[in-house]
Amino acid sequence: MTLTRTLLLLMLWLGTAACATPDRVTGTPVDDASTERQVLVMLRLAPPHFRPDVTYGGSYNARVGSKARRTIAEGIASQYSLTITNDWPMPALGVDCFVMEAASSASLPRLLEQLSRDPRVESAQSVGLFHVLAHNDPLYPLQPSAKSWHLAELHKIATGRDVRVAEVDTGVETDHPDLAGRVAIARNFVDGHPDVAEEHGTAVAGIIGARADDGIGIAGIAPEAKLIALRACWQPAGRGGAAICSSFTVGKALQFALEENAQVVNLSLGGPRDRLLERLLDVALARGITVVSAVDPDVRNGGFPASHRGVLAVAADDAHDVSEGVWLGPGRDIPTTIVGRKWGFVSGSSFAAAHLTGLVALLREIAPNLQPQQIREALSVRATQSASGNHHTVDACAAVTKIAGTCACACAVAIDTNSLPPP
Amino acid sequence: MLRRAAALCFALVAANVSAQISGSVTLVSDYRFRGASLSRNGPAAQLGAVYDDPRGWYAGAFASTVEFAYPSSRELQTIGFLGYVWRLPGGLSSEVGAEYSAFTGAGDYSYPEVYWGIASENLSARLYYAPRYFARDSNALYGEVNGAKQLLDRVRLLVHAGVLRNSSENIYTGHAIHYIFDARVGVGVDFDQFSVQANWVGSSSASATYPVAGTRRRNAAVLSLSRSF
Repeated sequence: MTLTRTLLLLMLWLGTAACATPDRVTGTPVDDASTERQVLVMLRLAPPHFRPDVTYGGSYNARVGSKARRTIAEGIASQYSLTITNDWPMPALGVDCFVMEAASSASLPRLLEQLSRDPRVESAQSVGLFHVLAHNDPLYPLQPSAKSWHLAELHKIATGRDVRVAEVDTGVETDHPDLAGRVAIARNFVDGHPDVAEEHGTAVAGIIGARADDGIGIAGIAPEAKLIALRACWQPAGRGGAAICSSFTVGKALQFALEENAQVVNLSLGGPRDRLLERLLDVALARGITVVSAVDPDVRNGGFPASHRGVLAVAADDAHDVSEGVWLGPGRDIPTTIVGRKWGFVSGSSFAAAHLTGLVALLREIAPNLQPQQIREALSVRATQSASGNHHTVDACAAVTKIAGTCACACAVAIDTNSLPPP
Repeated sequence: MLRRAAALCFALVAANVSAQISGSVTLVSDYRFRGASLSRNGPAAQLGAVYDDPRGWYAGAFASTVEFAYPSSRELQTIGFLGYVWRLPGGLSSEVGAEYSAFTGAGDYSYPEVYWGIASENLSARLYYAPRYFARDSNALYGEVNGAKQLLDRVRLLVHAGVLRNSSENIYTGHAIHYIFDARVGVGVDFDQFSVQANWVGSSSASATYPVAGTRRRNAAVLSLSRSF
C-alpha cells in the first residue's frame, strides 16, 4: 500500500468520523430547575500509565478510556432510570464526573444511597446550587473605600506580576477598557447559556486586576497578575444581576484552575456544602494554592466554601455577626469595572474577597512559595480585631511589609521591626 | 493464544464490574519507534487494548505491522505488558511494569523490558531497561520525557524527548556504549473518539541499533489517525 493510498484512507476515515454521532454528551443547557433532579456520578479515572500506542502522549488524555467509562455510565443510567446529560473528567481527583438526571418522581436521597453502594461508582452526590455574594441594590451610596489600603504605595513594592489568579465567577467583559489585555485565559464552563460578559464577574475581575496607570477607571489590587477568568456561574434571564452556579460548573472550573497551575483562586460565591467541591478544594490547598472565598452574610457559619478548612474566608468590613476566623476587607461602595465598558460602585462580601485575592497575589509575587500559615500571619499583622475578637480587618500595608521585609507604605512605619523576617 | 487472552480479559472484567477496558485502532504514515522507522518509512496499522483495575493494576496488548530488512515481508509486532500505577501527592502518579515485545517471522528480535515512570497530568517521564534489546547482546537503557499541553478545546501540543544508552557488541571494537537521542513535536486534534496527529520525529543517529529496512532517514513527518474505544 502506498503512502498516498494510506493518507487517502486516513482522510476517508476522518470524514466518516466527522459524520459520526458524538458519544460524549456535552452542551446540555444548565438550568436551576433541572439541577434539582440531577446527580453527579463519579467513575474512576485511571492515572496515566504506559501504553505503547504511537498516538498516546504518555501523559493524561481525557479521551483515553472515555468510551469505556461511558459504557459503564450508560449501564448505570439504564439500571437506575437516569439520563446522562453531561460529563467532565477531573484527573485532579481521579474521577470522570457524569451528570445524570432522574425522573421527576424519583427520590433523590434513595437514589444516591443506591448509587453510593454500586461498586462501579466511586462516589455520588446531588447537584448543589450556589449564588454570587453581592448586593444588587443600585441605590447604594457611592463612596470609594479601597483607598484605606494605600494601593499606590503598595504597588511600589508589588503588582502581582505573573501571579496566576483564577476567578471562578460569571462571565468577564474581557474587552472592557480597564481589563483589556488583563485576562490571560478565559473559559466558559456553563453549557446552554450564551458566553457573555456579566455583572458580577466583570466587577470582581476589575477589583482584582484592572489596569493601573492607564489614565482611565480604576487600578486593580494586583494590576499585573495573570487573570484566569473561569465562567462557572450565569445570570438567568429576568433576575437582574443575581447569578447562580452549580456543583458541576464550579467543579469543572476548579479542575481547570488546577490544570493551569493557578496560585490563587477567588470564589466570590456561596451555597451548601458540596463533596465534589470539598475534594477539589483539598487538592488545591494541598498543592499550595491560596483559596479565597466570600462569606455569605445570611448563613450562620459563612456558608460553603468560605467555611471549608484552609480557605481564606472574607466578609465586607461593614458586616456584622460574622463567624470566627473571618477576615474583613473593603466591601462597601467599591468602584470597579461594569459591563458595557463602564465603571460603577458595588458592595458585598464578593468584592471584599476580591480585595484579599489581589492582596494575596501581591504577597505571592514577593514570595511565590508562601505557605498558608505565613499568609495568615502576614494578614494578621496590625489587623484590627473586632470587639468580639472573632475577626480581623486586614491592614494591607502591614501584610506586604511583613512579607517584603521592607516598609511598604507610610502606614506601616510604626510596625515593630522585630516582626520582620530576617533578610 | 488470542483465545486465551480474550478468555483472561473476559474473566477479569466479569470479576470486577468497575474495571475498564480501553484501547485504540490507529493508522500511521510511518511507525517511528524511539526515532527509528520500523515500517520501512511507510504506513502501519496498529491496535492496542488496556485493562485497568480500580486497585491500580493494568495489563494490555498492542500489535503493529512492521517491516524489517530481514525478513523483508510485512510482519507483526506484538507487545504484552503488565504494570501497577499508584497516585502520589501533588497530582503525581508513579508506575512500574514489564513488557515483552515479540515479532512474527522475526523471532530473533523479541526482547523483554522493564520500566518505571512518574507522571503528572501534563508530563510524564519513564525509564526502561532491556537486557537483550532487539535480541542482541546489548543492555539498553532508555529514558523519555513526554508532555502534552491543551492549546485549544480540541487541540493539544505534544512533545517527546528520549535517549537510548546502548551497550552493544561491535565486531571491530568489542563492547561499546553509544547514545541515540530522539525527539518528537506535534499537534493532536481530537474529535470525540477520533484523534488526528501530525508529528515531526527526529533521531540523532541512523545507526544499526534497529533492524530497519530501506533508507535510514533520521527525520520524518508522521501523520496518524486513531479511534479510541
